[in-house]
Amino acid sequence: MSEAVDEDPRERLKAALWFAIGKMVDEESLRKNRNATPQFIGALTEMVWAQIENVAVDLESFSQHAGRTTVTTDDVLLLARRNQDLHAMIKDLVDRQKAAKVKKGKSKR
Amino acid sequence: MPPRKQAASTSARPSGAAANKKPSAAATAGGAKRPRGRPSGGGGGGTSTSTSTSKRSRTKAASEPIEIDDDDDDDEEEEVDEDEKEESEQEEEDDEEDEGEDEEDQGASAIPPELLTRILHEFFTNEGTRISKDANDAVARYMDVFVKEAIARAAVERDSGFLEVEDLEKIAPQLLLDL
Repeated sequence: MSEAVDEDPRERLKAALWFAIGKMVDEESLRKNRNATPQFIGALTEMVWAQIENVAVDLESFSQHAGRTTVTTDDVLLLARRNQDLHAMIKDLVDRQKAAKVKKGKSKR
Repeated sequence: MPPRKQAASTSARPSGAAANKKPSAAATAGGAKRPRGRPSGGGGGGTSTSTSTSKRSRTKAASEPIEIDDDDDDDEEEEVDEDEKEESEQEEEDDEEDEGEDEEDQGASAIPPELLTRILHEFFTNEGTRISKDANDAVARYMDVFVKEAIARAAVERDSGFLEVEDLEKIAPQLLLDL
């Protein structure tokens, strides 16, 4: 009984993830003029779920290693260390976030 | 080539939408200047703001004064909405579509930030672990790239027709090693 209760939030989270990924796949399908079976989306969702799990554990380890309890963008950048292109993309996002923050700080004054 | 192309196309879009990102990014993370705590605390505030953010993100003018107050409102929002969390989860699906339209230039319909936070917290082994808003966005970007890369690689495997699970199986090992 308790197992079912524990699994419930996970199932709902997975379902929400399935929905989001389904949308992404539909968008990409439109752009590429291809189609994907529901099984494909389901399998992709499982893969993403597993990847998020790995990512979460890694991020937690990185931040703990740095003596923090909060995961920061530095931890995420460390995640992307293996792939230069990926690293560049995330660094680009982080830099833009920082620039936007600086802008906001200036506009407040 | 496809992976490079993909990188170029996905990074090209966000650059045009830095302006759009501000209200939606700030709005979706109304409570998220502070690190997000466990779902019962931070997540409840996060998901509850998601229902109001879809309205906020429409009016850029209105969002700016709200942003300033956000930090002060954080405490109240996070405490109030534990009960609304379950209801807002169902509403999330409707709100996701609204947020998707606003974030279209961003290469839209990325995984919703609140959902990502919830899932991440599901897997954190330490109760006290939190994640900053920027880090959450960065992880969302990472997963975005992951999904798009998976689709692109699977599309390469099969010249035409439907993308099947087999294609995913073929590209999965290399994908996981690369990312």
